[in-house]
Parts: sequence; C-alpha cells; structure tokens
Amino acid sequence: NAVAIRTVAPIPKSAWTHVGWTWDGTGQATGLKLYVSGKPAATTVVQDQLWKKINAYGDLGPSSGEWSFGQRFRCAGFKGGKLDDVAFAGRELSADEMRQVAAGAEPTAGVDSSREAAKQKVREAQQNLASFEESIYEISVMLEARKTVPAYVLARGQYDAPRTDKNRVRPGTPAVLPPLPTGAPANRLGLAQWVTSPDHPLTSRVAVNRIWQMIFGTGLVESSENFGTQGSQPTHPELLDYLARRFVNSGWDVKALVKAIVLSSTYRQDSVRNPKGQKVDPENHLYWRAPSHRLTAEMVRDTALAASGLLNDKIGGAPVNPYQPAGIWSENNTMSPGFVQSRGVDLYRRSLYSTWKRTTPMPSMLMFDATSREACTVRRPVTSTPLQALVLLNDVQFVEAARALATFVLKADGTDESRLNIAFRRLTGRSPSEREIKILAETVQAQRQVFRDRPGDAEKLLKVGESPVPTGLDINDLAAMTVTVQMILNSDAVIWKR
Amino acid sequence: MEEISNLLGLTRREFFGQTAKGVGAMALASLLPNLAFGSAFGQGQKSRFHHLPKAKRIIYLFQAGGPAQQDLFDYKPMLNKLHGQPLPDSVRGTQRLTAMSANQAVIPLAGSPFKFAQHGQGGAWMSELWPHLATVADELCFVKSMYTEAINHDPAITFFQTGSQIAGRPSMGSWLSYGLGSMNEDLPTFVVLASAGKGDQPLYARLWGSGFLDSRYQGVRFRSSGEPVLYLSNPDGICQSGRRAMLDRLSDLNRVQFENELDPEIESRIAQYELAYRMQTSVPEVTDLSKEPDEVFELYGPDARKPGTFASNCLMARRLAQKGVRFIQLYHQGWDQHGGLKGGISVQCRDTDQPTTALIKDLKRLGMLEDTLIVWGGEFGRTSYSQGSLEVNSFGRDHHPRCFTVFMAGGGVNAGTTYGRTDDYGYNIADANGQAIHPTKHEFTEGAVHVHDLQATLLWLLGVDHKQLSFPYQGRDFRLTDVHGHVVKALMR
Repeated sequence: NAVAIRTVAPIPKSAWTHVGWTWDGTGQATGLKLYVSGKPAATTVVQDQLWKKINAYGDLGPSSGEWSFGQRFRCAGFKGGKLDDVAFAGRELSADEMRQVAAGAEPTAGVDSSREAAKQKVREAQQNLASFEESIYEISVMLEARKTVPAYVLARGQYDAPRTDKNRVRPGTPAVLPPLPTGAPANRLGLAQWVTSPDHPLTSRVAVNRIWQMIFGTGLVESSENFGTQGSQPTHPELLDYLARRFVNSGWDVKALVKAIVLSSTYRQDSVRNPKGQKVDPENHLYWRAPSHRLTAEMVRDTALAASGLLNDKIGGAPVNPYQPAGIWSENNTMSPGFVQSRGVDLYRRSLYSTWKRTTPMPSMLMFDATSREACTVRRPVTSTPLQALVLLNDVQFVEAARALATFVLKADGTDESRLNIAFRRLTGRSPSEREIKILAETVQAQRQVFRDRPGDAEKLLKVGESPVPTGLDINDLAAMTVTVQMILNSDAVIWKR
Repeated sequence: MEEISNLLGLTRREFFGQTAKGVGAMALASLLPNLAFGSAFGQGQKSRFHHLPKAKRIIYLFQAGGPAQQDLFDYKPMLNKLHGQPLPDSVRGTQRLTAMSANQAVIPLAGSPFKFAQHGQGGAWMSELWPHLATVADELCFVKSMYTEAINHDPAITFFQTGSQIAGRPSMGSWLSYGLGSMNEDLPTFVVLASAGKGDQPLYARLWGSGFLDSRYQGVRFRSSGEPVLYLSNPDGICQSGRRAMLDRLSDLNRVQFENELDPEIESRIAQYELAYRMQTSVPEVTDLSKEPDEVFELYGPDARKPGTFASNCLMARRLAQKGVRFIQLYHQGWDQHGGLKGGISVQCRDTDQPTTALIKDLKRLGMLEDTLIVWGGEFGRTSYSQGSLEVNSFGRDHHPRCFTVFMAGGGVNAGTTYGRTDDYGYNIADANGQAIHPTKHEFTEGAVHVHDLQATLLWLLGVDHKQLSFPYQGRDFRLTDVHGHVVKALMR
C-alpha cells in the first residue's frame, strides 16, 4: 500500500544538493514530483498502489503526522549523508516556485482565488474518498506480480546462494502428475485450474478420503496427509476411485458425498465389537463394524451447545472469543492485544468461529487434541487424558450448557425418567436403555438430596455462565438436574460416536 | 434377559480377562508410550532405556532473552582493555550484522562493568553478579562454547526446545515423555512453570507442545495465579462429596456402555476420570508451599514466598521432582538487554542467583542431586560490542549466536569443570590455542557444543539415545536432534 518514485539520475555525492518534492493528493504516482536543484527531475515509478489515507507512521505504529527523511524503522537509512534546512509548505508548490525556493527565496506565486476554490473542492473530494476507503475492512489476498520474479533452486536453502540459468526453475507440475491443462497460464490461476481439473488423479481422491476419514475415523488411505509411495496404501482402491469419480461428476458436491457415505449399509452397521472381528481385524480396516471414534474438540463443544439449545447458528462474520480462564494470553505474551471475551450470543457460536491464537491456542481445545495450526495437521491424534475429564467436568462452558439443557427438560412436563430421556437423546442421539435410565434417575434423586443438605450451593452452581438464571424452577431440582445432565455429557455415549 | 457375554459364547470372566488387567493397569497404560506409534521402543515391562541413565529427571531453567555471557560467566579482560574500540573485521569475519546493529555508525567493544573472580576448586569464572552461585561452583559444569544458527528469539527458543527453528515439532519434554513415560500416576510427566509478570519477549505454547506426537505428551503449565492447573477446581456450588457421588454413577453409566460396546477405550475413559479426581488433590498438595519450613524459604530467598517468582518456581520444581515429575521446565524472561544492560542484568541475577543455588543445595541435601539433571541457559548469547551508546548505564549488547554459555549441575555431569572456550574478544569459539574456529552442526567439533549436541547429551544422561528416539511423520523418521547431534561425553562424569 504505497506510492513511490525514484529519480533516474543519482544525486551527486560530496556536495550539498537541494531536493524538493511535491504531492498533489491524488493518491497516484503521477501526483508525486521530485526536483533536484530546483529543476524537475526525471523519475521512474517504483510503486503505484496507494489506497486509504497516508498515515505517517512513527517507529512503532501510527502517529499524528510524523515524517521520516531517509529512514524507515530499523533500516540503515541515509548512511554517510547529512540533511539540513528542511522546509515545509502548506500546499503544492509549482515548478516555478520550486525554482525560487531552490535559489533561496520564498515561493511567491500569486494565488488565483477561483483556482484555489476549485482545488479546495478537489481536496475535499479526495478526503471523502480516502475516508470512505478507510472504513472498508481489509484482508490480504495474493496478486500476481506484474513482472514475474524468477525462481531458483538455492542449495541448502541459503538465500544468498548464486542464482544462474543453471538453477533457475519455471512454473510447472511434477513429472509424475499430469501437465498444466492446455491453455492454462503458468501462474496461480493455471495451478488452480490444474488442481481442479476433473482428471487430476489426486485432488478428488484426497478430498474424498478426508471426508471418509471424518465419518469413519480413518481414511481409506490411512495417511490422509500423504498419498505418496511412503504413505499408506488404500484399503479399498476401487471404492476410492468410484467415490472420487462420482464426487467430480456431481460437481464436487460435498453434501451429496456425505449423504452417500452415511446412508451406506457399511456406515449403518452396529459399532459393537465381537471377539472374532477383533481378532481378525482389530483396526476395522475391512469395515466389519461401524466406526467408533471420539468427537473432535470442536464437535464436543458444539454438541454440548446444540443439545442445550444455547448454540447460536449464525453463519459467517467476525470471529468470537468464547470462555477462557483469565490471563492465558497475557501470561505468554504482553506484546500482543489482550483477550476480550465475547458477550451474549457471541459466546455460543460454533467452535469454528473461535479466534485461534496459534502461539496460545485455547486450552480446552488443545486438551481435546486440537493442534496449534502452526504446522498443517490433517489427522489429529485421539487421546484420552485426565485433563479432558477436567474440562468436561469444570469448564464454565459445559456447566452452563448442562444447566441450559436441564432447564429445558424441567420445563417439559413429566417425570424424572421422561425428562432424563429427553436430555439423553439430545446429547447422545439415542434413547437410554433401562439400566441407563435407572442410573440417571437415581443420580438426580441423590443429587437433589445433596443440594437440599447444603443450602446456598444450588444458587452458586446455577450462576455459572453468563446466560441468565431461569426463574420459576425449584433451584435444588434444577441444580440436581444440571449435575445429572452434565454427567451424561461426560459419558462415553456423548463423547464417542458409536 | 440374556447376559451379553452368553450371547457371545463367552463367560464373563473369560471376556473381561482378555481385555485388560483392570482399571489400574489401564490408567498406567495411558501414561506409557502408545505402542501404536513408531518404534517398539518403550514396550510394557521391558526396559525403556537405551542404556543406564545417570539422571531420572531434568529441571531445565530456561533464561529467555539471551543472557550476556561476558557479564556473567565468560571473563574477557580484553574487552575492558579495548573498551570503546571498534570490533576488528578479522574477528567478525564474514558474519553479517543484524539489522539493529547495522544501523549503528560504529560497533565499539564493550567491557563488562562487573568484576570477575574464580571460584571453587575447579576455578570457575563468575562475575560479581553471582554471590550465591559462586558458593556451589564445584557442582557446576560450564559450557562456554555453545552455538546456534538462530538470531532471533522466537526461532532460537523454538530451536532449543523442539530441535527446529520452524514451529510444528514436539518439545524436548514431550519427546522424553513419549520415550520414557511417567514416574507417577497422579501428576503430569512434563510440567512448565514460567515466572509471572516478566513480560519482554513472549513465550509460546509450542515450546512445551507435543507437535506431531500424541497430545498426552504435551507439557502442562502450572500457573501461579488462580488454579495451578486449568479446570482443576470444581465449579462453584459443587461440593467434593457430591462430585464423588456423581463420578461413581458416571462410572456405572460407562460400564453399561462398555458391556454393550466391548471397546477397551471405555475402560480407559473411566480411568482418566479417576486420575482427574486424584489430580484435584495431588496437584494442590504439591503446589501448596505453605507447609515448607522457614529454613527452606531462607534458602531460596524472600521471593520464594511470592507465587509466580523464579524463586517460588524453583521451590515448586524441587517438590515436583520429589513427586516423580520427569521434566520440569522453568522459564524466566527478561534477559534481552539491548540497552540498559548494567541495571537490567543485575535485576535478572538478583531474581535467579539465590534460587538456582538453593535448588542445587536443596536437591543435594535430599540426596537427589545425583539423579536430577539441572540445566541453566538461554537461546543465544550476546555481542561483545555495544548496542547503542557506550555510556555505562545505558549500553547494551545485541544477539549473538556464535558463542554463549550454558551450565549444568547434577545428573551425572562433569561437575566443577568448564568445557570449551571463546577467543579473547568473546566473539568466536576458540580451539585449545585460543584461535577462532567456526564449527557447524554438520559434524562434531571437539570443544564446541551445538544446540543439537546439547540436546543429544541431555537425552543421553536420561538414558535415551537421541538417534533411536524417533517418530515417523510426513514420510520420514523425525527425532529431537533432527539429523544432527553428538553426545558430548566430556560433559559427563
């Protein structure tokens, strides 16, 4: 975001030289002029891409009108040179005036009032344009450089290794894969066309494999990040090919693919293990049973939010900051902006919208095997640790979600059993068995007594989380139901997909 | 209703006997290396060590920012003699200056404003900033010839902790946790303690992260304010007995699920909850310093009573060591003296001198020094030339990867010795004749210790061959020391 020009001829050394520059405020390189010894200097355009306002930056951030001459932050600057007699004018000087100034006189051009009035109008219009641009939110995108920068293979990655025709490389694709499509430009657009060409052997297979992995826990190619000869072989190559071809033919329709997989009889099997199957194929490579695997970190939180009714299903928009223990960001880093927790419905958006600070990722996510994202991870490990238990038992998010679901079921008519049935179904997707319902009902009864025996505890528990405490319900009932619902949330039936 | 086991044609005892030896074994199994990963290293009952370890545990006192060796340990009278004169080109050679240093019109050598003396029978050189450490000089093994390639903090610390300047790899503690497993059931294997309120150059979760290893091997940060481990405390209004009752029923619920699904994973889950419950007691127990006698606080200094100080963390480290935590990592930031070095480094030493000494003395008193490896050092050194004006109170030193000092104690190191030396300018590693040498990580140079060499040596002392502790990822076997590293036997007794 800059506009820059440079004189064609160098400034002479060892002699004081008068240098002047003017700027007409148009935002374009043509509006910048350089004068050497009072005469207009021939210049080349170095950069002509300015938008928004020119904010003069001080050493560490925007300031109110600071200028630097011959220097940028931490740059060697105008070494061995000197600057003297710096002067500013409040307006754009003409070439004649610049000649006067270079000769040591004051600029004395008459001011034509009608021209000045017109200029003032232009100035206002420019300001309005720049102010409007300021309000536009910026995100970085890549743009093809006007002039291709040659690329070279640099031995050992040394960036000052020699660059010659011998180690120059040009855009292309690996020989073992198809070439760029005919007519495709040798740039990122061409690459994009290549990657998405219907006959590309990898893209659709890799995509299909990842979706299979998401649904089945393991891909048809287990090493989903590596389809090469050092990766795993597909367990069902024809199936992979079939699904990949179907995916492309459908117009790369992800929903259709997911639907096809989850409606398959393979997926709709039972996940119960039997000893014979476990002995012959313990990792279920041959799909003798349905998959069973733990929900991802994001799915665990989203499940709790969805089942409880707290989930805010808004799509898109700015990221949010859900609950996090205090001081996590600042204890690692006092240089970056502080953590400001979201409020209201923003607290309950899908986990995909949570701000992700790679140097200090959300601990509750990390504990469920989310990665920092500093390196690309296609397959997350799946662990079972006591820290996960602590999150599900003690994190505000889950206590509050349990309270919300408890409130929901208590507002429905019925018995303990019928209400627990609803809660269980909402969290696990299935109905509880008789034995399970019995355990749940006994729990809620026992917990009711615990809260009755300890007045004040129920109120404290119900205040956990920022959503308002419901009225009109017996607080010991609600507290007991909250604990019981949270117990369901902690059980295998919720956290593991079976 | 038919027993499920009957439907399967098995008796209950046969079935349950096949799956696990019970809950306790499961709990331990989840703390041991996961056999599905990588090599067979670390199998069940067989020894996990490649060779007999000298140390059982390691306490790494990481001094973040780059401590200035010329003012701490590397006595360079030449710098005082040539104070103010420019660094000779011959000494610098082809090394480019950093962007910050290159700004300066001149790069004058800066003598240290601190007096040096030799201490102990080994004659270790230390500046006057170490009144306490000087008293345990003979326990220390100095390395004066450490070197690295990294010149800025983030890549340099990441390099020390993970073996690569680029993020994504497991930290040293995670590697050891993966390779050696845990020595106790109720506390994490790898604990991190950072001095609170030190600001300056930041720390990042990846420094104790597990990278591509299982996340169970990541370091657990014990915090100095609020609860020591995140999410440890019950929510407001949940009493211990109510929670216990709920956990019992949760276990029952999971058992029903287990009988239906027959997945051993469910038993592991039950065990994790038991472990979590125990951690709710064991963690506060170990972090509660109040029961320590007054003499201990006198030993560690007045700061030790304040949670979050380096002193308090050192005392905590000793307690964690006693409870079987294998890798205890402390971080103390604030050594990045680009300016105001005299005042700044004095504060740093005041923070760390007495507690470091106390830790060594304390472990020795308890008979634990010989199997506890202590490491003290930062991510790079500092320049012998001054950054900024040479005025004694405002001068500073820039980053310097070519040579710096680290020291170790305990755990089988060659106590009372100094390994390696630097040239008279304190700018290059030097050979035995004092001539500057320029080692690289690609092959081991006697007298010089690259970061990978230090990593290999630390692992060796803990019983691990750095070349054998690896994990397949992205198509090749990775290890902490990348494809480098040489065990420096001279650093061991």
